[in-house]
Amino acid sequence: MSSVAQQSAVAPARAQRAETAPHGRYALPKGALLVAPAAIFLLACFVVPIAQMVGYSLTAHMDQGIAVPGLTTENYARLFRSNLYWVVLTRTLRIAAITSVICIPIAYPLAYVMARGSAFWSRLVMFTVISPLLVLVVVRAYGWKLILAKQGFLSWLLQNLGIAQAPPTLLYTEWAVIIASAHVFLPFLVLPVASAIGKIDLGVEDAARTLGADWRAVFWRVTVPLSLPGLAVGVTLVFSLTAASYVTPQILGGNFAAMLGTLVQQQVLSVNDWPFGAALATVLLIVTLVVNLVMLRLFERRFARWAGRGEAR
Amino acid sequence: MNMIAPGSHRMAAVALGLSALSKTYGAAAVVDGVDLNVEPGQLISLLGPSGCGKTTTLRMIAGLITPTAGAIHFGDRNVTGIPVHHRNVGVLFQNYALFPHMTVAGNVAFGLEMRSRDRRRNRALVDDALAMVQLTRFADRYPHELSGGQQQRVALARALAIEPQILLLDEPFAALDRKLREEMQIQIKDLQRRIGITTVMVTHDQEEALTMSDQIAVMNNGRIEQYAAPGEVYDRPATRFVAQFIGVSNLFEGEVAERRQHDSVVRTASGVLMTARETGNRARVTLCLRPEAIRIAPAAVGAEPGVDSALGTVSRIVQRGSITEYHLRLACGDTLIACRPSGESDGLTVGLRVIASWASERIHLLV
Ligand SMILES: Nc1ncnc2c1ncn2[C@@H]1O[C@H](COP(=O)(O)OP(=O)(O)O)[C@@H](O)[C@H]1O
Ligand SMILES: [Mg+2]
Repeated sequence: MSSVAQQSAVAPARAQRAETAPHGRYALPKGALLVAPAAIFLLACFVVPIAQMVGYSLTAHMDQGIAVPGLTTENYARLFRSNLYWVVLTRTLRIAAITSVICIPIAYPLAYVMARGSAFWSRLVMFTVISPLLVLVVVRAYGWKLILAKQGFLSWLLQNLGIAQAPPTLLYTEWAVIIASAHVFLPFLVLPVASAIGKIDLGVEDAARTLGADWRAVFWRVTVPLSLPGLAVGVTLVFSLTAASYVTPQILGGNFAAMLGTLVQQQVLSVNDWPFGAALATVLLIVTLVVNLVMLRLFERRFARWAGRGEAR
Repeated sequence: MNMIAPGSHRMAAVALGLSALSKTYGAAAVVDGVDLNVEPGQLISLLGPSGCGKTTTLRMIAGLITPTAGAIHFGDRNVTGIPVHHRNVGVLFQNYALFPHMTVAGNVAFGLEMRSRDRRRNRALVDDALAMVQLTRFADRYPHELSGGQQQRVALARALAIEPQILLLDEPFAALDRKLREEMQIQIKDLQRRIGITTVMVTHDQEEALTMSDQIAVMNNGRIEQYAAPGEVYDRPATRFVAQFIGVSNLFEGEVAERRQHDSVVRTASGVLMTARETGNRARVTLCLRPEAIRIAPAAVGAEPGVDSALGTVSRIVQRGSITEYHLRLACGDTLIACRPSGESDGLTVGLRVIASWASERIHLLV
């Protein structure tokens, strides 16, 4: 072979314009079928019991626990008359809020490493963060009890570091509940934030750097804002889970940091006043729901437009 | 650091200089000793097939990748060790990499805010930048509310608003459809010339490189095979790779049959005789002949090919818009590609016996 005519090997791969299939158009019947089992499950195991609970809260009761026919708002009236319930309600919300806020700065570095680190670090962080969920809640709470006790590890550490003079009171305070809740509910914040960070186009961060942003500016102006959808989901989860938790506050908070869940348990099991317990549970449900909706709404307002939601192109 | 490439005797100022720039990953040299000088205000292209190291080179210039060896100069300043956010380069990324959570104005303002807190001045500069790319009306839109071409203009405004020393473009037109691509090529070239910014563009599209660049660096396997003006690269490719990469090319290998004072006659293995400007003492040479340099005419019965001509049969006719390609099967079985403006077919049809000929000065000798 000596005289060869050659065609250049270059047939530039022009933009691959992937035709986006119009999922939405055919999605309805098929989607409805797919959703049906979950919908039925939720209806049977969630909506019906809640309706039942709300119903209970509107019935009267006699001292022996026998229900009286007819509807009444007495349970709610009683709830708002007593200062105790108001104190417990605000404490529940406070503990849930502080736990959520404390989780945020702890979650971000972890989520960042999980999303951006090498496979080894990513898995290590994932396992570390999830590990508290693998331990039985009672065992975990007693573990924290040992650490937080007057003669416990944390007390010893604080005294030896000279931060505290006398053995500090940690156990049976709100802080004990907050620390333990943050520990166990952290994964519910880390995972959605990591997923959100993982979705950020690295090119966008590169672009910020070429425009003069150092790593701090990149983090605050690009990474954090773009991970807000994940943060919103995570904070909502941590808040709700903490507000509704029962075992942890019972063991670590005792009567000094009783939360709404504890009161519900007392009414139902000790006092045998089911309607009043149901009223407390309903209030907890409504308050948590409202707080979450307000929070999501605030986040949504911030990122609805750039995320392309709720607005036609 | 030697800033002047070997063999350049002009004392041209250098806006961007790469010397022995290399990047290796493990054992693989992705960029392998690249030397390159760009004069101020020029637009040069890094042209080569996918995976040859163009993007890696560009990212090293930007500071997004640390070179394994070699140096990068912006003018007299050695920037090799300067981190990306202090380099003052404007980069137009392939997918634009706009900030999805910021408006068009917010995107353009970002780089300015990193430099100065003077809001009034920044806003004026944003307005200027948006006016430059005719996007003033879209200042409050979010990126996903814009078309591809508009997004690219935002990215360009954002990159230029910081008044960078060097502009870097990575496959800037790959995501646009043909019509828009040609429009944006013209717009960006005009803009680049108007503000006179030194620009490095990465592309795998030889046409794009030929139309837009002042100089083209053809890359292969992490090395620059030729660095020259588009016409030079096209007419006188330095290597076999360049000849093949820049469009359709007829390549011949042959032995020197007869040495003359100013040239020699080369006989290819298939027996075609060609004039070559070979005056050295090489016995085997490679010749390159552009399709448009070949004339074809129906062969007379009993025609005999002489030097710089060959007999063959038209085996295929390919319409390529403004030009038509004729594939000729030569007597020895090899194929020769010729082309001429469409509409000048002169009755050439498939199966016709033709004689192909060319002027000896159109034959390019590869070194
Ligand atoms: N981080 C990396 N690790 C290992 N190999 C890499 C890395 N980045 C790029 N490469 C390799 O380097 C080569 C050149 O890549 P690139 O510069 O992107 O090519 P081009 O832009 O010319 O298509 C490719 O073969 C690619 O696989
Ligand atoms: Mg590339």
